[in-house]
Formats: sequence, structure tokens, C-alpha cells
Amino acid sequence: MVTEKDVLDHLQGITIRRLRLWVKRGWITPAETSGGYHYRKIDIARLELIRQLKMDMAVNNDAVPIVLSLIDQIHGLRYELKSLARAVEAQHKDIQTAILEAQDERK
Amino acid sequence: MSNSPYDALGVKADASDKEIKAAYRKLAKKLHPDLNPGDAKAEERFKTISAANALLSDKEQRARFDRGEIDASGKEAPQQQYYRSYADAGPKHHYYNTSGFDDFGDESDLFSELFARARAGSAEDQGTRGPFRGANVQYQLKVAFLDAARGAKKRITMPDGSSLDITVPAGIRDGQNIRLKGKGSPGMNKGPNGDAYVKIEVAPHRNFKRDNKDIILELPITVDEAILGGKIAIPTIHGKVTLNIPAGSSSGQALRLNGKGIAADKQGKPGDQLVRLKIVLPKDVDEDLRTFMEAWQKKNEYSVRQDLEGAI
Repeated sequence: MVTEKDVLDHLQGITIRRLRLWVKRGWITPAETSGGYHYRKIDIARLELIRQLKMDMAVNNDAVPIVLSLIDQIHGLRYELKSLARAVEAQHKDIQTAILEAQDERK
Repeated sequence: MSNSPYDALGVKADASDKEIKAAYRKLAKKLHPDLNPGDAKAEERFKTISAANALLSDKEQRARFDRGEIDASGKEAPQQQYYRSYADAGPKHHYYNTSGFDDFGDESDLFSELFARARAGSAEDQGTRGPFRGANVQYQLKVAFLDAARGAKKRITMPDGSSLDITVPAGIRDGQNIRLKGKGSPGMNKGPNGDAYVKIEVAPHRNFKRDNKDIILELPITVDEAILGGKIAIPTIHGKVTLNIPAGSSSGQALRLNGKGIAADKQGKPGDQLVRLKIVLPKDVDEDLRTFMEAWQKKNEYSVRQDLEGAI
């Protein structure tokens, strides 16, 4: 985890005012410690994403949380789907076949 | 595919800055890896257009490229760590969100079950989660032997000045921890509090010792009590009792007082008190005793060291 200062030093085009505003809006939730905010790797990657959404893609302030929420939901869904696929994979071949067949029937 | 930044962005060589920016913007929205989490190639394509944009949006660089002084790779954005490479870790991170699943969790018990398990499995990972669980804290509490044996209520003062009531269960052993759920460091980002662990140090007792649930007491008796027997008032952890010393008791012999040890817990029986006898001679062996013993010895020689024969 890194401090707010480290983040500002590393990411170009992000001012302290902007960073704090984004945190206040809940777009990023760094860890709150007695020594101020601490940013994990995922927070920094998300920060960079928000910066690109806003600057490179001209996504406006109202749309940013919508985009972030949808992205997070997709990751959630992808993860759940992956864990389901893994669970199916761990089954006996007959069960796998049965699941695939059942899926075909629904289509 | 052509290496030209103009081709990468799909603009003409004489495109204005505005056109370049618009073209990049349009492609970025389509190709950004975080908007295409399942597309492994998105990163490579996005890198190409980012590099093209970086080069063409810089007047000087663009001019140098146009003059052929640098190639399209002349300016490349530093390696970016995309959000998707962290966000696909599942419920381990604090932006994890599957509220979109609530509806079909109801329809299919199997799904709810599966996902509930996936989430439960991740709870161990505390380091990277959003709501941080507070740290566990360790306290030390010295308790008197009798408090540990009988159980007691204790109060400790925490570093912040508040106090914490602790129920010391009967029979707690030296070094054992009492867990106080949620009494540790406060959680962060609305995370739950950590737990407090109170490590118990049991002070030794002058008379009593412990062996698991049994209490051991060494009881000095006189020679005459050993030979003739008698009733002696002795302490137990639960108060005084009268112990019957059988006539002809030896040193080291243990008498058991059933149920006078550590009180029963939910599972088991109470412990006992074991009274180990220790014959103590009078400080001065007087003439009477000596004469008696000499006379006794002559008539009543007896052997007590059979077990040691052969060992010498």
C-alpha cells in the first residue's frame, strides 16, 4: 500500500483536489488508516482507469460511477461464472455431459 | 497491420489535432482493456492506439515522425497495470460486486449456494479487501491460582482507557487464550472489528498444584497420624473439608477427594483433589521415641526396598 503522496507523484494529470474528490464520491475506496488514506495496487489501477475514462474517453462525471459499477459487476459475474465452470470441470465426465446437454435443451 | 500511427487511429496523414483526438477517443472507448475484460488481445490493441495518440498529439513528436526521424514506437506509454488484472480476482477485493445476481440466486438454490461459498472462502484474505477487518490484539492477564481454578470475573483496562470485562472460565490453564470477539482494533472502511485475545498467566499457589482438572495438595502429617490415622481439616479450592487419614498411611500415598477439583465443564466430570501425604518427624527426636523405636525395631524388622533389589 502506498500513501496519497506516492500516488500523486506517480500518476500524471491527477491533482490532490481531484483525487480527494474521487474518493469522496466513492469512486475509489482506499484504506483508511490513522495515517491517512493508503492505496492498494487495485486502487491505483482503478484510479488510472478513471483518469482514462474522464480524459481519454470524455466520460462525464455522472457517467463515471455508472461505468465503474458496470465494470465491477462484469468482473463479479465473470468470477462467479469462472468458479461455476471450475466446479463443473471438477465433476465426472458423465455429469459434465449431462450439464452440457441440459444447457443445450434450454436454448 | 501497418505500423503507422495514422493507420492505427484510422485518420489521414493531414488530420487535425481535433480529428486525432476524436478518433482516439472513439477507439479508446471500444478497445480499453477494462471495458473488454475477457478479451486478451484488447491490451495489445489499446497499447497501439495509445502509443499512436501519444505520438500524434505531441506536435514536436508528430513533426519528427512526419520527417521520418522517429518510427511509430518513438513514444510509448509506460506499461499500464490495468484494473482488470486486479478486479478479476473475485471477492478478494473491495470493489467486488455481484448485486446483479440477486435475482437468479432466488430462482436457483444451487447458484446461491455456490456463490455464497465462493464469498465465504474469500473471507480469509484480509489484506486486500475493501472493508478491512481490524487487527486482533493480544492482552496478558495474570490471574491468581484460585481464580483460574474456580473461574472469576476480571476487568482489564485497555490502552484507550476503556475497560473490558472478562469471564475467566473455571479450569483455565496457564498460557491459554480467551477470545473476546470484536474487542480488537476497530475495522476500517466499515469492516468488522478484530478480536482481542487475552493470554492467561496463572500465578502459582503456595499449597495447591494442578494436574489438568485435579488439584494436588501435599499434606504434612505426623508420625502418629500416619500410624494411628485420624481426621484432619484440610483446604480444598472450594473450602475446608475433613479428611480421614487411614491408619497405617505412608509418605507419598495419595488420597482422592472425589469432585473436589476443578468444577465440571459442559462436557465432563469435575476433577478431584489428590492429597499426597508426607510424614514429617518431630523436629527433635526425643528420648521416648528413640527408646521406643529401638525396642520396636528389635522385634518388628520389616523390608520396604524389595523393588530396588537388583538395581544396585
